[in-house]
Amino acid sequence: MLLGVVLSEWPLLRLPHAGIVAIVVALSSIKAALVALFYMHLKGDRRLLAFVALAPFGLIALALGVVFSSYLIRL
Amino acid sequence: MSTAATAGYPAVETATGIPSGKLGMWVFLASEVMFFTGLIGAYVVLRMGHPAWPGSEGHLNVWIGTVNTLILICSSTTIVLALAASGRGATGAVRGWLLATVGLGSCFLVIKGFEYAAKFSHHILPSTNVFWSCYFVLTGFHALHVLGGIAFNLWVLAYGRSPAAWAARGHRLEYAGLYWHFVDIVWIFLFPMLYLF
Repeated sequence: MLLGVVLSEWPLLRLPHAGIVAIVVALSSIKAALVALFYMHLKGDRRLLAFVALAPFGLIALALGVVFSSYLIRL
Repeated sequence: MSTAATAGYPAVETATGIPSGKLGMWVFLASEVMFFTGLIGAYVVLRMGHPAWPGSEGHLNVWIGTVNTLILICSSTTIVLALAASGRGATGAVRGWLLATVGLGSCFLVIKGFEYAAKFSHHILPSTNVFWSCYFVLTGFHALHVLGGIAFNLWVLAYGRSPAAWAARGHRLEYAGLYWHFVDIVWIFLFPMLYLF
């Protein structure tokens, strides 16, 4: 996360904005996954809890698919 | 590794092999993921549809956000240490680490309060523009969740005053920990989305 702060605040790096966004979102996702796996014990717990934890992401993907399908209709 | 059984509590016989309270907490957290994703999704769609987002008036202090991020991550560590102490049966250490978690959560809210006060003093309100509407809604709901987590931690902390109560209900510390980590994860995404982009 601190790396993300440095990247976004450091003009010398001259990364495109989309590149910084991608790096920071990737770092956030990795950190969230580490918290879930180790602090929330998903790694050692029963698989059912991992399914419960991942289920909303499937629903979100479905919802986003419906939302962004309108782009295809516009084209 | 810190299931109810390994944390020093009797294993519970359920059809799933998972204590009902723990499964219930995970289902609740799954619903919370949907809640925050709805809000964050609305923010992303609005932001992508705006040509010059958030504009010069939408500046947030990155370092305040960074300090608050660090505070929440530290509080996640302290509640893990509380659970580890619970596994060892060290009730005094559990209370100490839980108090540290509550203290760090309170620090987060105080800093957020100062941040809000600074915005209000500059007449920046949720009605100012779409960015500030998103900012106050997202951080406001997150702050309410932090407050809820503090209340949950204090509730578990109260069991520590009596060995009998702790023996019967101390396993709820794990549920409080799950909730607290979820609040941390939400902030992990809110911080870059609101402060860095």
